[in-house]
Amino acid sequence: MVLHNRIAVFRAERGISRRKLSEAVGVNNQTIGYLERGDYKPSLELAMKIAQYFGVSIEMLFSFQRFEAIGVTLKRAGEDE
Amino acid sequence: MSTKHRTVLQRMDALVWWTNSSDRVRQDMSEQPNEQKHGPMRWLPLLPMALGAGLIYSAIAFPVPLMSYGAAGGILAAASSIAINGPLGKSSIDDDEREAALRKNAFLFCLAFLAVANVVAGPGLLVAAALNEWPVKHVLSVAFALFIGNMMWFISLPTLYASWKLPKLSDDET
Repeated sequence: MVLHNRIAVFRAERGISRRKLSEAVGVNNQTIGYLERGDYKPSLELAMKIAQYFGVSIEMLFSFQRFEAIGVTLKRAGEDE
Repeated sequence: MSTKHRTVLQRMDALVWWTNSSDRVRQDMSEQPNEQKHGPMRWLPLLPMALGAGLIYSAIAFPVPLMSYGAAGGILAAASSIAINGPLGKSSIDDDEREAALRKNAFLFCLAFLAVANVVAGPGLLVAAALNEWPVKHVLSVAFALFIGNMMWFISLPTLYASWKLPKLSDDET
């Protein structure tokens, strides 16, 4: 089963480098790249550490369903307002 | 000192530089972050594996004098050098969870492969030795070649497996 994630989106939004995130959660720099591309599924511990680092719930970062595009989310938010 | 006037021991000592082991020790003892690259090696481990298989085949096909196995030491050193510089070359203490999983899977695959190969080939060789009435020297030669061949595959196969399992990295990740 594919595990989608939005680590790259959160990282880009907050201007955090891969190295800084990897040091914060205690993994190799390359492991963050593998996670972002979906080449590696993290353990529950690592997933929770990353979610904790960004201060969001784990469901905001990881999902079995594909995350909708940022543009769609923003458009819907605009319509709601 | 010029390289021309080195003693045999000095020349042997200099060979250590070629294996990259000295850099490894220096990095391990340094307090600086480890900057040694352990990139994928997708083809190089095939060389010692082919040599190991060739050694076993040649020992079976025609008895090789035991003295000639001295060369196997050099090939084992080369295989170790490839493994040290490969993706599993760094100390396992520094592994994160992804690297630990990769190391575990690589060695499990290697051990399973070698177990099956030895279980199949072992009885076959016993039967061949009995049917062909191999002399003791020939049996010893084959047994030693099997030992060296297994060592070469045990050193090289995990590196090969891990190298092919690693996806290619982008420039900012290397």
